[in-house]
Amino acid sequence: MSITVLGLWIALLQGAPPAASEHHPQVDRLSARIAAELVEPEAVPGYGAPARPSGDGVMITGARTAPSAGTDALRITLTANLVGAGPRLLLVDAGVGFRDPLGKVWVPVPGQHLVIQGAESSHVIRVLPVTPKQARPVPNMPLRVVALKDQALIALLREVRRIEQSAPTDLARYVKVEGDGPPTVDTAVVNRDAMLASWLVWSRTAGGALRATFPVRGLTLAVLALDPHGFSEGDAVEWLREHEGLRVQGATEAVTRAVPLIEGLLERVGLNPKGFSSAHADYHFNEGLRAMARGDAAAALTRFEAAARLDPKDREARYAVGVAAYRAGKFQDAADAFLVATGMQGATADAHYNRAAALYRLDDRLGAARSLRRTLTLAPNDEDAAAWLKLADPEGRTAPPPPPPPKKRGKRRRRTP
Amino acid sequence: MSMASPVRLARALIWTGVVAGLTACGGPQVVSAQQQLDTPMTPQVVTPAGPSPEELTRQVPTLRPLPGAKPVRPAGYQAAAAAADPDPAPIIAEPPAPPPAPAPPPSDEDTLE
Repeated sequence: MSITVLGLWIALLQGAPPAASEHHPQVDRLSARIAAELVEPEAVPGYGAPARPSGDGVMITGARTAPSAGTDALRITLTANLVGAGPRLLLVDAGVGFRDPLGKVWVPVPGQHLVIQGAESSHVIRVLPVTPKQARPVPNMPLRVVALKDQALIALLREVRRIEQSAPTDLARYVKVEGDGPPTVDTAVVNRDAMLASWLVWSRTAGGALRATFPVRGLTLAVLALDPHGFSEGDAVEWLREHEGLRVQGATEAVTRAVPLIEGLLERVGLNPKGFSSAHADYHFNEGLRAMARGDAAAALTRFEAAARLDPKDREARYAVGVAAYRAGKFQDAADAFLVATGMQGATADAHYNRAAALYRLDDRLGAARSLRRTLTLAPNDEDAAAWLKLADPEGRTAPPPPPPPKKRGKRRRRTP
Repeated sequence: MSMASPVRLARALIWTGVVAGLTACGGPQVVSAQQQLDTPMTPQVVTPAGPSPEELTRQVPTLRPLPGAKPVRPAGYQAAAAAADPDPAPIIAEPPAPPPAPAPPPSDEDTLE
């Protein structure tokens, strides 16, 4: 390492450590240092334009795909120019993505930093795909830069960096260092921290301090889990088979190992981890919806039943069991499921209405009429329910009995003993 | 003139019945090939076994739809205010890699060899 770089470190170490909100005078963030010629000229749906850099500092003027090794993250080469005095530290933060010629966006792996010095220099960073159907571009393809507007993605990338920073102190008790060998995690403790420690990749810095980094595969799957079109455990297995060439068993085992950490990460940034893995009702519920969308009511019924079994208090799952059973022609099962749904807390008028539909199919007109009356109790303006009630029970046999007439108050007679 | 035997009488009656029956049915009709060609083919009208889907729709209430999905990213997700940029201090405070140790000067023995 040159004397100039050492000078940077000494200068940085001499100064007070910057607070989270303020920027150190010799530190730049990638998202704020993109040159105008590198910005995607056209508006891209879901993305914005990066902030214009101001003042002296690092200026990123070029980005191209670089040769990547095997299943590791895609690598890209950045061209950096230094305006003003150097050297400077460039933090590769969350906030921008690199758009390839196919229109796909790649986001930087968190926690990378570069020392920039000299008029022009090249640096390699690693990036991750943001959508599952995203093939690697060939090396030396020009890339454009867009600003990320996805709050969930930015929060996730920043949380990864935060975990990596705090892990060497917070999780050090689970890490064993012997001699010059690599740090290992060997603990009999079973809790979330121990699991996180065993999942992270541990190494040592040049100074001998512990360093923790997220494994690329798990990080990639966590990012893909944010795909707005849905990306769950099953999709992750397929993705590993396609992109890493794993067999079904290997891919399944890899995903099973990664699931707890992915879910933990999603939970930490306020997302719904229950939609990702098959251990949760939400996952099966979503799979059921997908099956219904492709017209497979029998498969949907199996999924919805699994969701209702995993979370017996899930009223929507029970309701969905009714809908799928109805679509599969199992009207009695549908009526039963709707009956359970109507008995749960927060029961909706639709559940009563659908029970009426199922009973109608079973030719139980009076039963349907009773359900329609309950529908109207919850939704008095439901015109459909009112119309069907007239057809199901024209004589009003299911109508509640009229209230008893008020008792006439007469003079009390005093009983004489 | 001899009397007709009962057997003959029975045969005559049977044949009379057969002829009368054939006559009532119009008898065997001979249709020429030209007539067959001239007669337009009419498709057979198949009566549906049950009510049509439209009729079924009219006869029973239409099922109300399923609720929405429960995705990983809830609708209207807002990242917590805590999702700010992480503090770069740990990176800055990280000591740099030590410069490579300079090669020791060649000893006399090395020079001799």
